Amino acid sequence: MNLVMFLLTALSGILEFWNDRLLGFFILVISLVFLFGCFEKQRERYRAHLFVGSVLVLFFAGFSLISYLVSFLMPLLGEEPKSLTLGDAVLVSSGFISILNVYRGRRK
Amino acid sequence: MRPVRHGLCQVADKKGSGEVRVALVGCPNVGKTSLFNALTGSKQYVANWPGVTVEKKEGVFLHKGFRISVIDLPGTYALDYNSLDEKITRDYILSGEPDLIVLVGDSVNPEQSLYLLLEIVEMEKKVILALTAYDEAKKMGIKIDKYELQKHLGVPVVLVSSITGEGLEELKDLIVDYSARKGVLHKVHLDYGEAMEKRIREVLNNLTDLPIGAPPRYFAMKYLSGDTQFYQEALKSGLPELSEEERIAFKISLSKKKRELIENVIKEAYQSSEEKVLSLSEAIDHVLTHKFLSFPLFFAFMYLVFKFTFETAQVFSDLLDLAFTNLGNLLVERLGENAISSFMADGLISGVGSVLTFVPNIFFLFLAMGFLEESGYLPRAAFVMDRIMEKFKLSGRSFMSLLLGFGCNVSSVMSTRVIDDPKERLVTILISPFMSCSARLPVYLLILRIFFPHASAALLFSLYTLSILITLLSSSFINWLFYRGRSSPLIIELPRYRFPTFRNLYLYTWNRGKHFLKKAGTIILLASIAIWFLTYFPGNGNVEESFSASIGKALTWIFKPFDYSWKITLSLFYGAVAKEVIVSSITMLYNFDEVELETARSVLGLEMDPVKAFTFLVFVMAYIPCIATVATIYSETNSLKWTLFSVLYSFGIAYSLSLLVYKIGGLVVRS
Ligand SMILES: Nc1nc2c(ncn2[C@@H]2O[C@H](COP(=O)(O)OP(=O)(O)OP(=O)(O)O)[C@@H](O)[C@H]2O)c(=O)[nH]1
Ligand SMILES: [Mg+2]
Repeated sequence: MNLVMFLLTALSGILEFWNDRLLGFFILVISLVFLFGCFEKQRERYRAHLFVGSVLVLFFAGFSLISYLVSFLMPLLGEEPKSLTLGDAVLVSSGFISILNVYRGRRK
Repeated sequence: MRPVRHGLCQVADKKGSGEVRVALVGCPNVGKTSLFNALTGSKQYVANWPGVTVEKKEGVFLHKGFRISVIDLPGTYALDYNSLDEKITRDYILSGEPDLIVLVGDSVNPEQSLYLLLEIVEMEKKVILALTAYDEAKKMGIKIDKYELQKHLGVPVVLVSSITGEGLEELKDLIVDYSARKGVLHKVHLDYGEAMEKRIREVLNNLTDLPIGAPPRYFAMKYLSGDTQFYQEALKSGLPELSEEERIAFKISLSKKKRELIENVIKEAYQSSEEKVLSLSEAIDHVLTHKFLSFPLFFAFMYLVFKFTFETAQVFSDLLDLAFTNLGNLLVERLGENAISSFMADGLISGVGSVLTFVPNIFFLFLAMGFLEESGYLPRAAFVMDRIMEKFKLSGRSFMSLLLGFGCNVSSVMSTRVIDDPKERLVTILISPFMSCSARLPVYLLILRIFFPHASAALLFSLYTLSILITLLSSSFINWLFYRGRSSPLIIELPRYRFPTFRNLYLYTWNRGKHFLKKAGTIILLASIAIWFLTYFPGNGNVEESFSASIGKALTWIFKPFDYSWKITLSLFYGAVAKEVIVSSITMLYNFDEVELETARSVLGLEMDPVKAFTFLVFVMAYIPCIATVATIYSETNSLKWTLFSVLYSFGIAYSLSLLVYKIGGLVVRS
């Protein structure tokens, strides 16, 4: 699972990188949490990486979702609302998987 | 009627009225303040790291006709006489002022709390044990038998949760009942074994007079274990000196016996479902304090906070701005151009409104900080940064205080009280005003949006980075200047991670944000009115002939090298009251509405180029702390010398730094 999450977040990190360097960079940092998780032998630790990484993905995905929603207010100021990029989409979808991970992680 | 639950107190339902004073005592971060808030309905500062409460706070609630005042004390791990907190708490307990003590303990990890309880029991005070965060214990599958606890400890026990409200009524009943009783419930007598008991008896036989408040047995034990306060008292009253080995040995045996007892009690009263290899908090810590990941993750958090505060909140700020501008225009339209409409539109709306515009940014910032503080990440960040801080002669503990400075410098100065090493504490106090507080944010945003509409995020980031750099370098410098010492190692208890409840976050954000709103309604309002008067008269609206102009022009020599106009100089001068006032004065002196960036740019652009504008921001970032911070520095250091030093030093740094930026910027732009 760590591997899947790593691939997903790394992908969205790279995609975000085109629009927003820093955002992309920090999503890549998050993907490292999963990457390191892949090499953990102990089961608990393996899960720990998955859990924490997923929470972090949720933060980032939540953030991009919120800023997308908030941008609907922009027309009031006479500006265009943001459009959802491909990177955002991947990020948000890995956010959904994260919800599952977090839910399972909490119960254990 | 509720059934009698504990059978220990039977004076219930004694109708009457009276005053009861209850002190909340307990280890740091167990949830004393949360309990205090839940009991009294107050909204004191709660956060998930040890050392939040630094001052005694009092609140009141009514129950069964009694008026119960509750005193929330700073947390202490022990009641020796070694640190300031310990002294304050112990003196307060022994003073006999509180009628009753509620020892607040942690349900999940009760060891240290029970240790503290035994100390108080030996002081022969009325004490109730309230094990809080019971909701968390239940969630973790921990079963607590409170009757077993009562049996062994001889004090009434309640299991409470400040979050769900469970057990609160029971605690209130217990407080009323117990306080109405004469004397202590049981005189619990911990038996320390024949040898030690003999020593205690010997001392008791020789004891003639007693320092007020301390029961004889307690006094004897403190004397034998060489307590800083009571040992001296004992010598004065004629008891013989003891060798140091003897004192230490006695002290160790005392605490060993207590620990044994506690271990037993817990074994009897606690039942937890099967042991986990790694608890949730440990699991999270494994990643967040990971060798390679901890550092980048810290920055990822900071980045998210930053993004959230500036980007997401910005839309709301812009909307507010639009509203205020329209309001001002409407007023002028209705009332015509005269002194009154100018007072309303230029004085009140553009003075206070220009600052209020930034309310969303500031609330979002506090929301994010609330998350950091409530989740329990803050002390971890201190841990992660400790190694770096060491290079600057600080510890991670100072880093925690400094980080709070992003919200408000006053709170970071206050929070240094828990830093044990006095030198490190002083240095932290002196450098903390350099952390860029939320009041400076409006100034940055205003100027950056006018002069650097496309690079404002990057420049804002650089201002914050600069502020951290100056803070750290100042620490090295001040240390080099006065101490040439070393930093103390970081010892800090890592709290459990908690997912912040909505209510807690709301309370935190609202409390902090309210402070900002209050400031807008008082200091900034008054300053705006004053500035409006000074700017409107005697020229009747002609700024160039106003009092402000005279003051400003008299001050321009200070900024000769920067070539600042008198208006800019004056805004810095007024801004010494509170940094937000800079925004009010600029909008008033130049008479523009923020929303019309084009006009603002053309007006300000006559006197400032981008380099000057950025220099100005660097100056604003570092120059003298606001009045509230200066007052706090004075009250915390108790020294005029250091307060003055702080003001002059920061002014000096701001001046030289911005001059440097000005010269370099000039070179870059011209070439
Ligand atoms: N779940 C849960 N959390 C609690 C409860 N009581 C307190 N907390 C949390 O525990 C943390 C510490 O609470 P405080 O009330 O600030 O603790 P304190 O004892 O006043 O701490 P200091 O002032 O630092 O000594 C906060 O994160 C609270 O939200 C409780 O009953 N249940
Ligand atoms: Mg507290």
